[in-house]
Amino acid sequence: MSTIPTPPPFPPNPLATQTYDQWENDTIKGYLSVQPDPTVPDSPAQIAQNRQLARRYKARMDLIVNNFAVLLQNRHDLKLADTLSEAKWKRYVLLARLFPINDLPTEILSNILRYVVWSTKDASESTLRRLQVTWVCHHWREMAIADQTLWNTIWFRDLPPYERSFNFFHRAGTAALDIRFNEDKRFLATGDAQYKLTGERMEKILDVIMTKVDQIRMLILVIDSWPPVLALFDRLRNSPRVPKWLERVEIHRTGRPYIWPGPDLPSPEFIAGTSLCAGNAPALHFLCLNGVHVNWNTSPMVNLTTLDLRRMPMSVGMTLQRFRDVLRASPKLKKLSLDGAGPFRPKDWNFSMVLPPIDLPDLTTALFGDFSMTYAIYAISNIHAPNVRDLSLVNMTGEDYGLFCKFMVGRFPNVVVLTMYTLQVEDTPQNTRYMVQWLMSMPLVQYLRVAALGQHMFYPFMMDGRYHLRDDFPLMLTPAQKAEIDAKYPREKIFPRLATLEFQHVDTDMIVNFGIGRRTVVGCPLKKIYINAVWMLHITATDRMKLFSISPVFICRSGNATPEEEKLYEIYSFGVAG
Amino acid sequence: MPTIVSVDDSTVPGEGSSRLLLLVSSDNKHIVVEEDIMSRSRFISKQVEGFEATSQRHAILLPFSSFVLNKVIEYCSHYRGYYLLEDDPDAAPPGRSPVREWDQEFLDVDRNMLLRIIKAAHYLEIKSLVGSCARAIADMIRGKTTEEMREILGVENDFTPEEEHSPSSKCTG
Repeated sequence: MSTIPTPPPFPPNPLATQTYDQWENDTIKGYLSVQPDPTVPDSPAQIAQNRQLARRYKARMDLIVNNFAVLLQNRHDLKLADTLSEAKWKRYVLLARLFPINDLPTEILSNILRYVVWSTKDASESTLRRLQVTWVCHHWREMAIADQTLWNTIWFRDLPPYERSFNFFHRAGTAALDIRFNEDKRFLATGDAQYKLTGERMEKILDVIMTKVDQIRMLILVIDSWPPVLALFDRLRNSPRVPKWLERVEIHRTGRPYIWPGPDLPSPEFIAGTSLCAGNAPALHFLCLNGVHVNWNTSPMVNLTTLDLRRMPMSVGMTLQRFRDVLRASPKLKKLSLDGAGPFRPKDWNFSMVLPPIDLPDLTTALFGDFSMTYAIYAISNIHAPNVRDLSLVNMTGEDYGLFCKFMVGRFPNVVVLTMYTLQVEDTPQNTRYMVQWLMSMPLVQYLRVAALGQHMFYPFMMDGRYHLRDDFPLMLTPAQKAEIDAKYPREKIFPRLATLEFQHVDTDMIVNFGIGRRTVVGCPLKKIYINAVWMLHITATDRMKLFSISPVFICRSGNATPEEEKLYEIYSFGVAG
Repeated sequence: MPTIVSVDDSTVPGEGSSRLLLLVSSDNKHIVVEEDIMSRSRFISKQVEGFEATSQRHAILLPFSSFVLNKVIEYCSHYRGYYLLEDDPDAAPPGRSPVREWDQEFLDVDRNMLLRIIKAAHYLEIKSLVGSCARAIADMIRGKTTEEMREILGVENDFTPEEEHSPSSKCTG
């Protein structure tokens, strides 16, 4: 900026209603409001120079105000007052040229603050960001506090009496509320009961929270024991007001799954389970219950998009009839997760009693885990979900799951991301055939995630599927039989699109052999290998060199999608938030 | 790019060229632009509706300079004919999606320019551009300390030392 205009002279008769400072501020604002934007942008050097000048004027103002306040009263020392005015005036002109963000309309600034607060990787960072924007200046603080939507995600992870969380709660006003409760970190680290979220503490929190029960949109509870859960269930059931906005309920009881809650709890009622929200939560579509159960028959379980059940004793599971009713009543279900939980299986159930499957055309994510082989077939046979893109099988161990592989053939033909954690299939020629047939029925797989698999589990990925196209092909082929099949059928590659492998708890040499086999035998080399961050600690420098000979190697964190996975999510639009 | 003609006088396009608009910037530059390019602007659309009601056409005076206006026109030209969710008054808010790739490049300007563009977009009621600018500014300060935020955005710390260090302010905002 070449010149900075000098301030106008002090008017002989300032408005009687104004002090000098008010007149001065109004005059400066009036002047600045009619100044046009610059016609060419300032150069970076010019901007830096203007900033420096503005800082210098600020320092001059502070010096005068801090040291000569008495002389400034009623403009006692005119020369000093004029010097101050000039510094102030020139500084404002410079700041206008620099365009401080606070000149933006409040509406825009609020918009910016929302993006700062919302675009965070986790709730913990979100809390910090919200606090930070209130620490910048008075204007930001006032604006942020007035914006209800900045405060409506409340994570009760501060200490009792939860001053911060309740402040957020009150600031959220009438906005929809996303509430999360957690055990205190110190309890998780030390097990010290004084930090535990007890039923009594939960009751105190609920005394406040339930005053806005009809505004709650999301409720997530991650705790160790039953009492806080029962306190919450009880309040929701007896609330006179309907939680009409409640869309998502997630309860994770991280303590031992099958433990009896204690002699104080009424056992028949406990086993029957509580009716969630007394059966009345019209917007509920996301239900995740981990280590806790509800009264399945009276809880609101229609139009679900996510049903995620984990770690429940069979005795408190829903009946098969109810399970099927829930699926039928949720035709838009996108994610189904049954991990150590699912419908009750009568003792006399056998494979001849399989019922017709229920169509779930929108189901894109499925996880099945911690099941016996028979139970896995029992549970999965109830669904027909050909559009599953992300399939996970976890903790299928303790017996031979070869027949399960046979059962899975053709069930999920559109899988793109396949996870196999601890799948036990005995090493027999028949099982190899089942495995090959199953893998061959998922030709779109591009991303494979494995853990704790035996070496023989990797062989089917390298095989030529045509020798297993039919069950009547001999398991051990003679050269003549082989030639006959070669002449009749084209080569069938297993997972021809597979590009990315993520692994943990697997011997590096197995992965290296897998990589070499995919490149040389199948002709479909891996493009990238991810190692779980925790497992990386077990990888030696030699292992790393071996892996690098296969493909580029990267480290990933448990529970976080890798870029390749995210890209696939984007392409196929699958996966449900959370 | 559309045909943007700078003219030296304030001649309003005649009846034959009714699809052209004359925009006048604060530095008195006259810019002729096709009407449908600027249809993304609710402000301009309302002005045009006003013209139609009175059967008269006028220049539209805008309180920002030609270099800011040209930047806005460039944005509108790029998305000419495109449906952008943010500009749909009937659509739900777009949520927390990232800045579009083209917008990222388009908004790779100095901070002052970015602030002027967002102010102009707000005036012209172009929600998608306001949103992209807001995200770009948020990106500049995301992950920064409070002091860094002040420095980057030219905000003065006007808290008294007592206010700044009060425990309640630190804990609850």
